[in-house]
Amino acid sequence: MERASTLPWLGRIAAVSRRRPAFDAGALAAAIPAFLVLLPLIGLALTWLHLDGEIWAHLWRTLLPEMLLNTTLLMLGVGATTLALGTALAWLVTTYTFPGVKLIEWLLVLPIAIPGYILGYVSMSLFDYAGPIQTQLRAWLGPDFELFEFRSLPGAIFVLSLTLYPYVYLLARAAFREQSAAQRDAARAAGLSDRAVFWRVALPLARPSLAAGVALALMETLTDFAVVRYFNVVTLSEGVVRLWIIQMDRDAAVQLASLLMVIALGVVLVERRLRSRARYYQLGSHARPIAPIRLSGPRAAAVLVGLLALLFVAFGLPVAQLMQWAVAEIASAEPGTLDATFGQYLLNTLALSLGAALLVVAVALGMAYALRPRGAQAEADAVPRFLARLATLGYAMPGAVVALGVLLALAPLNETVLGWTGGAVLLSASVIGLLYAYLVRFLAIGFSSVEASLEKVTPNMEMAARSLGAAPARVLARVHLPLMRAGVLTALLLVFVDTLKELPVTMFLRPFGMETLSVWTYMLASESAWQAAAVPALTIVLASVGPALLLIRLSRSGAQNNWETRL
Amino acid sequence: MTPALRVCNVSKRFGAKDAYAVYRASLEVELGQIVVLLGPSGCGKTTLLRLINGLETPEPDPGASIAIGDQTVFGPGVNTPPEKRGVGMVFQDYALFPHMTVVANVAFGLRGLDRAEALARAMATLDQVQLSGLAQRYPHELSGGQQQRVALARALAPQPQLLLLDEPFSNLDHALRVALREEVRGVLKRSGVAALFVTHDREEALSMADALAVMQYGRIVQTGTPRQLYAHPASPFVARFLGEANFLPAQAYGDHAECVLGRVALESPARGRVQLLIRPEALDVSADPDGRGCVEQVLYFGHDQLLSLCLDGGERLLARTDGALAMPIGARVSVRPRGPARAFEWRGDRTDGATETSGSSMA
Repeated sequence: MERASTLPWLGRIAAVSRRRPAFDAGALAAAIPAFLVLLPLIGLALTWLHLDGEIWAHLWRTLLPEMLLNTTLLMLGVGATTLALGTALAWLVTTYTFPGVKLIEWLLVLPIAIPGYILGYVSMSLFDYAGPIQTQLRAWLGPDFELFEFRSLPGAIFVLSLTLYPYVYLLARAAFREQSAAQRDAARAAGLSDRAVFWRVALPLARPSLAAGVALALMETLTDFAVVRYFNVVTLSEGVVRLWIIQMDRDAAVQLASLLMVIALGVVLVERRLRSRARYYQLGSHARPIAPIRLSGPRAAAVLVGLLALLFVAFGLPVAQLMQWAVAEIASAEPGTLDATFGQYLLNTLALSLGAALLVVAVALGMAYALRPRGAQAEADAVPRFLARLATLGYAMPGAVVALGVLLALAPLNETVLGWTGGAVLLSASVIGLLYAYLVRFLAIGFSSVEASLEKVTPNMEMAARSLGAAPARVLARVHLPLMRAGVLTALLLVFVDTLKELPVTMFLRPFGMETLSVWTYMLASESAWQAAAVPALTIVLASVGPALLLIRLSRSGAQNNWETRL
Repeated sequence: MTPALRVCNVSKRFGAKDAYAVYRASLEVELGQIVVLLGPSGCGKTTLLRLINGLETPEPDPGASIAIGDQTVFGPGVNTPPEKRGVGMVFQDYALFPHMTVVANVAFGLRGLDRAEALARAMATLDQVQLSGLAQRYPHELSGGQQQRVALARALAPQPQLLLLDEPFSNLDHALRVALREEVRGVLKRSGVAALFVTHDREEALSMADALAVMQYGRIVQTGTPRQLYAHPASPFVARFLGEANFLPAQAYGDHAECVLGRVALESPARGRVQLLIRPEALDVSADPDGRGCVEQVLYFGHDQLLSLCLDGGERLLARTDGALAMPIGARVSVRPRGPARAFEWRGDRTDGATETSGSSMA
């Protein structure tokens, strides 16, 4: 049925490209990925053609109201907390200087390296009623003392905010950095106090970046099902996973996933709105940077203690706990058993991540190269550019939505492939389905890095190379690729590690028996096998630290676009 | 002898409904000649260059062709890709390859030579633009003027038959532009390459060109030597584009015309209502208490000055006079045209899109 609905659309593109020969390569290179990314979403949307009233009625009578309420509260909670925390931290490190600020500026991004499904279970073990912290507090304050019920919605908000605030922090920091001293001086000259300068100048100017950062955090919140499950909070993502994997009620899972998709699209639209007319950064190297205000004495000490406490809770303590567990696990494991399992799962993970990285970057390169600005006919590229934006929409979709969408999209093909291969290959249960889903989810990351690096090659550079006798292939090899190397490597690394950390898509689509580190970690953690989960968890965290630090470098050099076009 | 470039009747538009960016343009560049393509921005100059070097394809038309030397690169059934046309190109933004050293940039187009030979040729070309000392630098370590000389060397190194220069100096400041102009003209002349040079700066055009082609709305409206075009413009547009110009309504009677300045001899016979082109330097201005105009404004340049005059009838005129002539604002003057004037068909207030009032061309 997808076929029928998409053929006329492709036909129109072909018609346009016949009229305008310079158009077709760009249109096709953007249209094919856009089509691939949209297909799962269209697949989900098409299920509305035969809405099952009974399923919805049942859902409404049972868990749907609670799911909607919890999802809303979770998004509000995480949104508000990451916004406040990320903005405040960014303001602190860009406006003030105090001992250690340079190092702390980098360290503050580290919590992003611990995925929620890892920080969640470690925090649970640390802060729960039976955990060491509350036990210690009871020892000091009497047996009746209780901090608060950690296994709750606020607990989930706490954990998700700690791992997601760096998105806001990174973008807010870049935005504050790009604001010029002249703007703030003008505001001060107009009689505004420092506080008023923040509220009335710096913050409104940074609004687009803040919106983008919060949107990223909310997308991650929507995709999460593991943290909320540890914390006994029933949300939509959690519901989809439960219906599909545990209750095996596939129809209901798909219907619920389509609702989740609508909410995710809503986040994208709201963010786009908040970001409209967003290009009012004071850019350019000639803008005088803001001289930071020096903090000293008790104020510096108070700020330092606060920041270190945050880093301790969000990164230091969990990593220390994981290390302790990992050491204990390795020491207590029977010789050979840990190695074999771990080795196999590590290999699976690396192979999948490498495959996803290569696939995504290859598609992104093709798209970016075909869409590169080529001088005179720039206006002609409006349609392909729009398609490219559609192709990056997958990043906003929760993992469960992507996974079920891919299953629906591949379903018609499954039959055919089953026929060809005599029943040997089931597309949707093979690595192909999984890689397809990774492509949908991570194309935006790959595309934005690659495209940003392609901007270094101006149309005239390409024309110069052509006029010097270099055919297009040679121009690509001698000019484009060398200049894009850093961007391509960045894209490979980011997609590699995002795939390595990825949980929901992998949970849904991994071929039978093919465990990865992330799935293994989650399975063990959800069975409270915390110590055993520590080895794969620590591996994931260590692998994620590098890219986390890379992100702060990217956001440093005005690579704002890089981040924003992710959306 | 075959010209280095011959363009015949090429047209280009970017969409079926769009206006033509270039319409039936024809142009020749002789061997060793520098032809300047002059026109306001958006007139299609750059598109014409892109058609010549193959980055755009002209509209299919059996009469359209482009030949470089004796090789037809575009015509019925022929469309040679840019890399096979042997045309060098220099851009406004230099377009140097940032990941290569200066000498590697210059050697980029030298294929089919062994490494040592290519390097030697690149160094020799760098020597021509006096930059051999900076061969191992990267482009970002050079000034704008140096980068543009590297770009010129890069384009010249493969010894193309034809060099296209697309507003090469417009990113540079004025003093540098003037200096580089002379240097580049020298380099081009010494290398013997035929060059097509695009600019919207008339001073640059007049001083660089062996021949000029003026473009307007995608058409080449006049070609000739700078002197011919300045003295005998084909239209008021060309006249204004090449220099300050006064246009006076007049009544022509064969070899002369009557206008507000009295009787004026005509370059070529005309009859009826016309407009007369009188260049500011072709006006004699003298202080005269009984004169029929007064000085409104003076732009003093030292060696000369540009006077804005207002005649008693309300007509405004620009006059260029010796800088030594003291002309206070408000002084009464008398004005006499010197030599024969050029008459154009009367078109009411229209003068083909060029600036209408003399006041604004002074500003």
